[in-house]
Amino acid sequence: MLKKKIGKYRKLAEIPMKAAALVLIAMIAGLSSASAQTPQAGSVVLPEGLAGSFPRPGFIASAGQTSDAAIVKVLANTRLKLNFGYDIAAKPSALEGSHTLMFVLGASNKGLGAAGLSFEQEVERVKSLITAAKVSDMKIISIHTGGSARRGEASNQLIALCVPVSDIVIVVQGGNDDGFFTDLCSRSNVALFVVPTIAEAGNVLGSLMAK
Amino acid sequence: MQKNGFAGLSRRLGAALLALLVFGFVLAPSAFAADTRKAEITARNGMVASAQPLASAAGLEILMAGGNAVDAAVASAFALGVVEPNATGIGGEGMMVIYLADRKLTIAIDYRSMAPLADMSKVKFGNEGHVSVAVPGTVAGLCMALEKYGTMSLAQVMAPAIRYARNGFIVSETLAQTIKDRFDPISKNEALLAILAPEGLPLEAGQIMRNPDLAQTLEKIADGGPDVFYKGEIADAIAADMARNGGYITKADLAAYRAIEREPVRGTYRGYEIVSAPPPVGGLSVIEILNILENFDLAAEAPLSPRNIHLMAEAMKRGFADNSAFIGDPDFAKIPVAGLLDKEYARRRAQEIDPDKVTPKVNAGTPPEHPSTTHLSVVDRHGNMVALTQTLSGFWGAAVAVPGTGIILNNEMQNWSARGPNAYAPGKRMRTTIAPTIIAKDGKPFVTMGTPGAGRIISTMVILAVNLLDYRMGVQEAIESPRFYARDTEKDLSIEARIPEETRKALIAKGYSIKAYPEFDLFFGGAQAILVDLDTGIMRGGADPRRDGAVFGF
Repeated sequence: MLKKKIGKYRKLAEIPMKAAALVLIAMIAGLSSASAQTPQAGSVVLPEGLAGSFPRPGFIASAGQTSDAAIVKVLANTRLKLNFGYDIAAKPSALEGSHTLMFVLGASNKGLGAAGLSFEQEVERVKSLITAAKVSDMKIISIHTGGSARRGEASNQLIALCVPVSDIVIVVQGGNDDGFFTDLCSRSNVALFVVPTIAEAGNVLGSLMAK
Repeated sequence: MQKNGFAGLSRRLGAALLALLVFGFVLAPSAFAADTRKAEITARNGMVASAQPLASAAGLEILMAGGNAVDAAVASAFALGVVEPNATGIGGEGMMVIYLADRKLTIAIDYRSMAPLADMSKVKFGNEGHVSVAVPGTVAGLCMALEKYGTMSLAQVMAPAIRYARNGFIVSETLAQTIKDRFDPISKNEALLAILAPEGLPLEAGQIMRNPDLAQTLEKIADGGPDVFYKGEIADAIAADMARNGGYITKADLAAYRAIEREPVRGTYRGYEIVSAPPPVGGLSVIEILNILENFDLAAEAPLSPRNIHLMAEAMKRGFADNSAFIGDPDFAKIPVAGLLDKEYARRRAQEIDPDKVTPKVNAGTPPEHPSTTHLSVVDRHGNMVALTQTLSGFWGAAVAVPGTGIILNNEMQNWSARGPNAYAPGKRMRTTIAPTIIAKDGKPFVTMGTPGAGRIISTMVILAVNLLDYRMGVQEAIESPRFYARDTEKDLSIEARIPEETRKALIAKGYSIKAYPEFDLFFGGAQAILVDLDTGIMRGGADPRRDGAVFGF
């Protein structure tokens, strides 16, 4: 299984880069039958230059106040022991000392309400984080784990804001069924990993981070 | 055709259920009404419509074994607590309306949750954690219904639920999404996290969810009856977990809990009799809104014409305003039931509506003085009917599970109002909008229906009644028809995206601001309904594609 998995990644990594974009589809376990197994963290083999290229410490923030951020925190900190900082409604000052910013993408009305933010305020907050990250020369990972439920108009607006400034985008398959991320990443020249499960997103993340 | 989630269960269980379903489908031909996503299921001998295929299968299993509608409803309700644990369970509560054909009697069982007896007036309840939990009523209510009106033993009707909890079931996309949506509070509770994220990450669609602790708990209830839950070792576990975590529920609270048999609220709409759940829940408001709408000829225009949406939205807002002003626990406040159901009062409320423009601010009316959140529907071959709506309040309730029991607790304490008939008091039952309803013609019940959906329950029930009775839609078509929702306290008219652009423009011209949701959105609830053709006896069942609803019959 693991060999097959690595082989698939390698094969896909050799696909000629069209429009300088790298689109990797990780169809590891077969999308029709979700696996109940625990994939091993760090089992993914990434194209040269990407593996281990994201410096630590990192910081997890949301773009849209989705509760998916809490899942990504478990993925990064509980499973992979990456010790990312975490604040779903972080302001730029929270990024101080971090070298990688991870945006968890997805707009949630409930989340916005709980944070006391309007959508417009959330957009401004995300823009301010992007500016702060760029000024500090931080790397940016955007991750979308929420499937089609986190692909409404508001989510799409935030995705369109974050993806072009990201160094890499990780998407759990259901969120890219319409090819939205594929198109956006292709146009923005950003590497995209589409994975079948949240656990697989963790494998990609584990391989990206510097040891 | 219908969704099912049988793959992944043990081979023996799977084969048994498959056989059951094949049998069910053979005898229950289905047909797609125009433009419906799901088939309308027909049957002659019994039918169950619930929010989850396995729960419907549980009810069907009981009906086919000779049980009556109450037996089947109780079986499906316990099963729903296992396979739709985000929305219901034995840590929650509900209300059911039962029609007994041989006695021509309709009764309601109130098993709404209750505030603990301690003074919590200084507590900020919130919507998560132990302080948000009210004393659960589900076990008391289901056991009362079975004992008084069922024919089978608790062990018989609970068997499917116990099986599902032990062997597991496939997680649907809907269920997986609800876990993700509340993962932050879920991850703070170790016992709940162990159920919903056994390997650390939330269960995803296609994975198997098992709850062996819950299987054991259900077995204890099946063996020892409701006292095990309210006075025995399960009560001990709940009280101990509360004490450890700053909660207020004690063993005395649990021991004091009673399900209450109440008189349903009754009204008429265009010659049909509407029988629904009484205060402290929303049936009265459903009837009040229908009474207002009776003053307009809705059938004169197409179902989703701007005029009809406007009239219904205005009626809904008045119903909601009166709901907030007048409805609470009838044991603590005097509810003007007869006044709110008064046809003349409804006529006055209807006259307030300007057909051309939205009313900017709707206030509660002055009803005359008179002396005086998952849903399932079941019909059996004797004509008995059950409409049952249960809830944990929010999805995953308080995001708290009782260690060692598999029980997920409600967050009903968030439903108190700051003042008025629904103000908090110790031992009181809070108001909600649930409204399981039975409709009859000339004294013969022929529709059982209901929906979850928080504030949208009342509006969705009105839309269902209007779709069936004014527009003569088939039951599946009535359920799938695009929904909308208006409330006195909300500035937007919420609609599903299938409502066309030109209609939206016409509504904006009347003064509405529109908030569009996706084409089929669970924000608007997940209705289930069964309609019996009074001439032929054929049962027609519909289930909501907005959630994982399924209808089985034989």
